[in-house]
Amino acid sequence: MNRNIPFALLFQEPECSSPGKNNTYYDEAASVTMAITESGPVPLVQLESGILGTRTMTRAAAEPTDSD
Amino acid sequence: MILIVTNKTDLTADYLIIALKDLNYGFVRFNLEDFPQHAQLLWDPSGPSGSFLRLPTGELPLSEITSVWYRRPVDPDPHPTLSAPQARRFAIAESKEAITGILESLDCFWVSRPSHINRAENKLLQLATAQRLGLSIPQTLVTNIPQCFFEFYSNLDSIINKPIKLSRLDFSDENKLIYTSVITKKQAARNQLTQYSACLFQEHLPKEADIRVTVMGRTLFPVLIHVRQSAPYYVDWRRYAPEDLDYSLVDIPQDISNKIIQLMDVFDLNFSAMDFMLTRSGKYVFLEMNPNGQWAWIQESTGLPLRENLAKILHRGVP
Repeated sequence: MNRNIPFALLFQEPECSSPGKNNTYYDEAASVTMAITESGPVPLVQLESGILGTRTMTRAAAEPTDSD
Repeated sequence: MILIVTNKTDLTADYLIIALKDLNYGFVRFNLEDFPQHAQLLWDPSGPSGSFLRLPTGELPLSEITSVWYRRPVDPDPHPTLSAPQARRFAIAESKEAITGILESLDCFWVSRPSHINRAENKLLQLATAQRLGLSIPQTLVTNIPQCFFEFYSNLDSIINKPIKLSRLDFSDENKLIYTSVITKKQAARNQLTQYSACLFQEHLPKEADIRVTVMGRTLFPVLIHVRQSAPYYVDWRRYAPEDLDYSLVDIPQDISNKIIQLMDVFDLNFSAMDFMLTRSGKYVFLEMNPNGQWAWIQESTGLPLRENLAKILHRGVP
């Protein structure tokens, strides 16, 4: 697949260092994503790897309002 | 009751929710991928039954909603037995339009209404409005006429190209980002820049620093973004690795603050993340605004009480 477009430079999306999906789950009652840690489940966003997921470069795709 | 309209993977929503819980403010999270399989709605504006959202966490009468934070909703997700792509597109569009219409009909406080966000996302409208309000903007050209591009290119020392709409392209196996970039001589000589699309070009101004102004309600939180000396130079600070950037609080001139608030008023927004450049000559130049941009990492980097401020304006229902 040709991934060049002539009118813009494309850059690799940075890897998000959040824990893998196997270590997290969305807790419906708590209304947040939890990460499983050695000391038990904690909100993912309270971990450093979680807060990295709020950075502007790791935004979710294909949203109408994903321009950061 | 505060309604948060978003999706399950939105960690910034999680970040605010932790503050809402700490402050004991009532909220309900509506993840749009739950609809219609795990969420239902009823809207009966003139009937006796009352309108409500029935979410996995319980039923919410629409009359109880006092504020809405319109964050990052994704598409509704019809049951997989609806497999024909056209039928799925139709169901998604109908669901989305119903939800947006019902929510927009609520006479409550918004951060911010989706119709206002959509309008404010147009970068060219942002630039034109900012300039009309007296903010400095870079010399800008949008064209698909090669001669006009070359004239612009030859009259300036250096120019940049930035996307007007999309800053990300999704391929089947990876995603690519498009940043603001300096136009190289090779690119210019290829003469393809304006062949397939209208393109946005701007003068490349020598900058002292970038400034991100997060606006919540009527409160401004300006932050100076420094690039560490060991890092290479990029036009777009989003290209840097987290460890290459430092953040510090900064005061911006009252005149600039006033114009930022005017810009918020023109677009009727209660949140925006605005990007300015501080030039080496000390001028504040408006680059763009993101009416639904990210902000949690700024709080973590600076200690600014962003989520507490957002929680309070949502709870009070006034900016």
